[in-house]
Amino acid sequence: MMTRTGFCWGILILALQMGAQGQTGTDSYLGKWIVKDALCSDCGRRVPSEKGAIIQFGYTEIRNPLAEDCTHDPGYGLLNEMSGTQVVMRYGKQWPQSVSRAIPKQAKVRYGFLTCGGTNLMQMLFLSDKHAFYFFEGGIAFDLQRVH
Amino acid sequence: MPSVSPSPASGSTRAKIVQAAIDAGKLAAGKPYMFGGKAPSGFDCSGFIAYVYHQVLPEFVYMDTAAIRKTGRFTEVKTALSGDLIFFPKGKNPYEVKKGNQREFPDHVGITLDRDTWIGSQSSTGVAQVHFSNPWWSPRPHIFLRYNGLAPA
Repeated sequence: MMTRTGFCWGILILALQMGAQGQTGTDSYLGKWIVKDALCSDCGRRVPSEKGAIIQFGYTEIRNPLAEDCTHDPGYGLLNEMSGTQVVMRYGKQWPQSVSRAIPKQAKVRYGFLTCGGTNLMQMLFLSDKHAFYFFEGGIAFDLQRVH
Repeated sequence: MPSVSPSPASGSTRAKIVQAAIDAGKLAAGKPYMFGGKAPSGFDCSGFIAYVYHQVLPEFVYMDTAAIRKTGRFTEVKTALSGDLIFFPKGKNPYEVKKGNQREFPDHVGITLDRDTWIGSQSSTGVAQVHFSNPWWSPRPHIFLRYNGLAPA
């Protein structure tokens, strides 16, 4: 039989686990993100008219007016934590230089693919729960900032 | 404008190609596009086609995008069926031109899944499904190609 002290410890551990999940789990990404800029290294005089577009990451759907929505089974489980240095060395060769420069070398970042129905949907790099890059076709990277 | 017919009967060769393409997409989840890649650890666009077609049509051998267009093993069709290829010849993308980007994009190829979607290995996403209404891909001129070893229906 559980004592009152044991029950309190159980609640405390559960609360700590939930807090940890909130910091590094799916919750970190959910919400609305605004396109602050479009970055590319070889696009000439491209006008970043995607600026201001809103991308929404939700538990049940992803809304992305720039490419593909996902209305069934969005997945956030293929984002891997690594250092800024590692992500640039492993994946950054094709990225615009301004993206690589914006990545803090020592900070932990999350890079990988959001999925839809178990298949890739969006290539993402989350620098924090407020700042991310979305890698788009044509070597373009959208600089995203969380708004909600 | 090319169009796409309804989905094939289950169990048909075309339905098997569609299923093989979806399965390969799931195997390649989390993997980025890989130039020259021909396996789920990383595909380029023609490597994905070869991997999927070979699952269902064992005689199918790898050919790059230029060969897909030129070898005569594929025939252009006006109305695509599931399993036919969607081929984007190299050239400027009107979506990008509108934004002042005159860059020429290389050939690209994917597999038609149904009336709404195709699947391919794109440089930004790796293997992913794409709606025909996708704002970046839909303005790009494209044709449909049918493998000569594949029955029309």
